[in-house]
Amino acid sequence: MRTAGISRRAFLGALGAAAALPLANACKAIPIGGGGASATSGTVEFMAHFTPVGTNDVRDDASKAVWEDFQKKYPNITIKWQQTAWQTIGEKYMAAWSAGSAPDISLFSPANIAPALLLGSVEDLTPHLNGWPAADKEDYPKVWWDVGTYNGKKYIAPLLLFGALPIYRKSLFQEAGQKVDQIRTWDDWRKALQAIVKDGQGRPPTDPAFDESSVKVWGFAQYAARNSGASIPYFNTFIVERLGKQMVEPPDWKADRWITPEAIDGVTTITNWVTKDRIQPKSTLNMNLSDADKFFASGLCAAYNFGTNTYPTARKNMQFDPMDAVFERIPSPDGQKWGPIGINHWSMGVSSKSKNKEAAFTVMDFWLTKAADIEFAKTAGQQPKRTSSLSDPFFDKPENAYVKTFADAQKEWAVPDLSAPVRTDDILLEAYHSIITQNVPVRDAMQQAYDKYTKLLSQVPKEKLPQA
Amino acid sequence: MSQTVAVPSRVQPAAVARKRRVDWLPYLMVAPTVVVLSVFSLLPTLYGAVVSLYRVQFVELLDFVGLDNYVGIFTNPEFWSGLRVSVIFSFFSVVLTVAVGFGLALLANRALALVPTFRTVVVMPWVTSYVVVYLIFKWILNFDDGLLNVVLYAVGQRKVGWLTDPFLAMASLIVVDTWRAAPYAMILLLAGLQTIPHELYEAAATDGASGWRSFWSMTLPLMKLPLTIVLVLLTIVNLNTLVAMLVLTGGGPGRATEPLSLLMYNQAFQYFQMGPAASIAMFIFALNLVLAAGYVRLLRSD
Repeated sequence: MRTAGISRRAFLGALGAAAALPLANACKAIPIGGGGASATSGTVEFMAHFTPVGTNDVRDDASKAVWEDFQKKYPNITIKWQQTAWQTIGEKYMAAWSAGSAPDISLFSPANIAPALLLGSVEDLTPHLNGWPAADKEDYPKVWWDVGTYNGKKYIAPLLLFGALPIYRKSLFQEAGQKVDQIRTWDDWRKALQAIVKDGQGRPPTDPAFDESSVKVWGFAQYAARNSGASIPYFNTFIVERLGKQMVEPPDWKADRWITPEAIDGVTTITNWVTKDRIQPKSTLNMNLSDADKFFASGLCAAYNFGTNTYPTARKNMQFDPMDAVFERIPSPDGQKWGPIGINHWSMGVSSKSKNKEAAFTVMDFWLTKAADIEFAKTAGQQPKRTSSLSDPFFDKPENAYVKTFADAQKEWAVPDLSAPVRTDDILLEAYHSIITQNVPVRDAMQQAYDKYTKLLSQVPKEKLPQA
Repeated sequence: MSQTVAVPSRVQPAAVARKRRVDWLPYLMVAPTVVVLSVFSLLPTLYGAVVSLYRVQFVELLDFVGLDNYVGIFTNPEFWSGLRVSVIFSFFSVVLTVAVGFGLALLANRALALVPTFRTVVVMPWVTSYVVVYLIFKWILNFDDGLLNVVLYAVGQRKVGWLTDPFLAMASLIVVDTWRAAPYAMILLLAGLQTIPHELYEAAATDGASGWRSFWSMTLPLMKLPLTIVLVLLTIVNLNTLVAMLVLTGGGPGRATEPLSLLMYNQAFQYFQMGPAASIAMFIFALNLVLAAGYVRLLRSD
């Protein structure tokens, strides 16, 4: 007798199909646009210097907002945050990776990528990124794809992509009879800043009786303390402007250009700002990034070199009208065209030992959605990475217009900060210090820096040198 | 003539067993300390010694290179510059710390009404976090708006580059370290002072000895051992100092305040040269070992 009900075979078949459906969905690549919750689950450890659990940076606030959205969308994925100092994040990651306890995702800067790569500690993201929808791939500019790509494989995904441009306190320049938009050459820069700096008796830096200890507002400041992650200010810019190549770059990563006449001339110009032109205080030799940001925000200098990574936090603390501080383009030797903007970044990398790579990719993708990009721009004032984000009317407001200045500079002449197999920053900074404080001739100091770098580079096996 | 030897009467087996039974309690009591010291101190030290003999990629040992890493550091001018900084910093810092600490201990040893408050206040720099202390001093010594320069400028003096002039940066480090460590010396020396019987001073006073004479002829000789111990302990601590330089000067300007400990740190975590870094660590360890041996000898001689 046939019954009207469902047969056992049909029931089992339907049950199987019902069970297979979410499984099949879970196996699909998760679109980066954030569409569709995935069945991926587990715990992802995420190490960064700005996180939802941080409290002193506007980027913490943006991270918190993105995290809240993530939790709603992916309740099955728990993120454990590890907040750490940016200066030592690479060392901590590599030590943890060697001990088998690395976080699944960590932030990397150019200082850390190549050493982490030499260790084999970072997962190749290429297969995963190949699965992104074409629209998402195209929405990221070329520089985003170039950063962290070695031997044709992309190892890191920039979360913040930021340049640094000179910022000027317009009113101080006007009082000194200078116009910030007319600073086109490095000579213009020096003269304009010298016109601003006065000692307690009103004497300019060109006056032999100039008293440095009574200056109230300096021309320029830049963090330059040893072990602070600093390098010689604008050194790479000068090298690129004069030699058309970066201070070190693949394939050989050699530093022979550090001792060329152009480099010596460039470093002489840069160190003269402190020693001869007296537009930059010696106290910058003891400043870390936060000190220098505060120095400008406190109104103690007229010009600064801000990246969009820290500018929004500093803007909140400015002791003058923030709209008085305007970003301009980078000068060049002849003023024919603007100087190149260095593109720095904080990028996500996934541990090659991660036991939950799928969940880590899901987290990484979510932090790269357009919504997250806009959140970091609006809440934390960061430069958006996606081309489409820039069309948001938010960036038409005068207080956010700086973002477009950065975007224009980036479009015209962008030079990504490369991650060298040997860290160059502190080596160069040692030379810079010795020129300023011990009167070591520029040529000798740069030769010493070159020798030290070359010796360290020689210890990296040639076959392991990262290639573009 | 045959000799007769007295043979002790046969001991009962049960008594022997009782005698041979090992008392495990003392071993158990020290076991946690031995385990902790082995895991967190002895084993890493031994591993450091092994690493110093290898070419290393981060923490992976690649090739055995014998003493090459040692040859490398001894022929590196940075090593000798670091050693010079370590010695200068340790010498002046220890001498000043002991002098100030001894002065404070002499004051705290007097039976005055405010002595308990004085002791509490004086100890505060020592109990405050190192990093906090150095960050506060970084602000106080700042050239542009640091407290010290603001005061100097207010009284018509020129501002001073406390942390940007190579000589003054070292002097500042020594003074700040003295300020922080003097209470520690005071506590140790005060304990020594309190073991000197008061009757000795009464007898000396009765014989007409002045305060200076009592100090010179009684206090100082009787404090010789505690003073030497403090000297040795502080020297060990100062040779290993890293945080002060890392926070206050970063080792700069130039390499003016980069001691061996910071050089080792930079080799390891700036340039990932773990082999040379381990060699420097072993060198510092050997220095510490010599000082520690002297310390133990002093304690035994007491």
